[in-house]
Amino acid sequence: MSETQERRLRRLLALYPRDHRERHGEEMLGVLLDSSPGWRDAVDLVGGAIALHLRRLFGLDGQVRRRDVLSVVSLLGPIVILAGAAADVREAAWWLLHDNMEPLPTWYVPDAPAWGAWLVVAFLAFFGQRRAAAVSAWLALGAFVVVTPILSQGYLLRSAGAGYLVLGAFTAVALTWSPGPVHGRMLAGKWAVPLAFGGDALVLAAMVLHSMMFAWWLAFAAMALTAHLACRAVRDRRIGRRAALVLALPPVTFIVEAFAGPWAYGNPYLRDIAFYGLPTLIVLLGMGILRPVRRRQPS
Amino acid sequence: MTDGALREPTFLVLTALAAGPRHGYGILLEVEQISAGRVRLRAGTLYTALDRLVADDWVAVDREEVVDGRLRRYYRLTDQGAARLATEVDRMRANTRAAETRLRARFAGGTA
Repeated sequence: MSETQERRLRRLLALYPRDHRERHGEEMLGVLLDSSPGWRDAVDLVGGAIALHLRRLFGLDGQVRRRDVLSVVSLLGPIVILAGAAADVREAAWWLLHDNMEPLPTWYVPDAPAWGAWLVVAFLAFFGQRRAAAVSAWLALGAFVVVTPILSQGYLLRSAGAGYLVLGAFTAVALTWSPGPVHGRMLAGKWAVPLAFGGDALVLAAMVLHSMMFAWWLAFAAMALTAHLACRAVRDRRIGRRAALVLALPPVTFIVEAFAGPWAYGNPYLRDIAFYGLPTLIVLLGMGILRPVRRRQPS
Repeated sequence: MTDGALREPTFLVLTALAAGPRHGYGILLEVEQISAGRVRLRAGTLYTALDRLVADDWVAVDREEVVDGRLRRYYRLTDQGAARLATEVDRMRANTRAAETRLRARFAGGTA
């Protein structure tokens, strides 16, 4: 068997989930080398890798406790949500930099009460005050739903900003029914929180330094990157992947808006499905909550 | 037990392990033999199936050996896996019996 073929097989095996690779990689290589592999084996390997990634992503391996995932979300969720305040901070900065003597009008930063509430949640969660953070999170969610529509005609809730609302709901649930941010910090390791705050800083920098449209793309790219990196810090990668799926809700709705916005805006039902239903469904599938009833039947 | 029918690769992998522990390549050969060459499993499919069968405690790792510098891991059928295979065999037997009865009646009717 040539070294070239072994290298090619190793490249294909590298497509498999890391835990599977570590457990079965050398063993699979041995089996493949014994069986004189051809192109059908290569296709079969790619198919197997995809199947195992999907199984892990959608919780079908059944080995990850959802409470652990929610614990990580209860710690990082409030911090990630704060990135949504960047647009208001940008407006406030513009107002101050242009030497306006009058106090900042509320219509200029219409979502400020909601972001302020989430700042409180983030601090409480950071310092391990789960109950107080949970109560504050429900209040902050209420601020999203009640106050924001009054002050900004609900723009935030009818656009890509819907991702913040859905993430806020998951975060409030996580703070209320999971073991909480202290347990989340144990699972996440020491780098997850600094990375999440770093992501907020990146989003803020993108908003302040660039023109609006480019800034939005940059900001959501920064959020997606942050969700990914923060959750890579989680020791159990499967918990990290599921937590990242929840934390990436704002970028997901932004992408939905970019591609489906033009037709979704014309119909409120389609808009709600696109901005709320679809992202929520993806997360519930990812958490394994909507997994098939007969998942324990190998096939 | 609310289990439905097993898919053929799963059934064949469990059957291959019913007689005793086998390593990955051994399972591939055994499956080919059991199915009279009709089913030829490949490594990707085999290890995707084993991943789930081990997670569900139907199959367990029996032992490991190093042969010619390569890891060789042997798998065995667990009691739970054997019970599931037996259930599947009963189900298939009942189906086969029903099919046989109806075919016999059909042919008897056709030749009469």
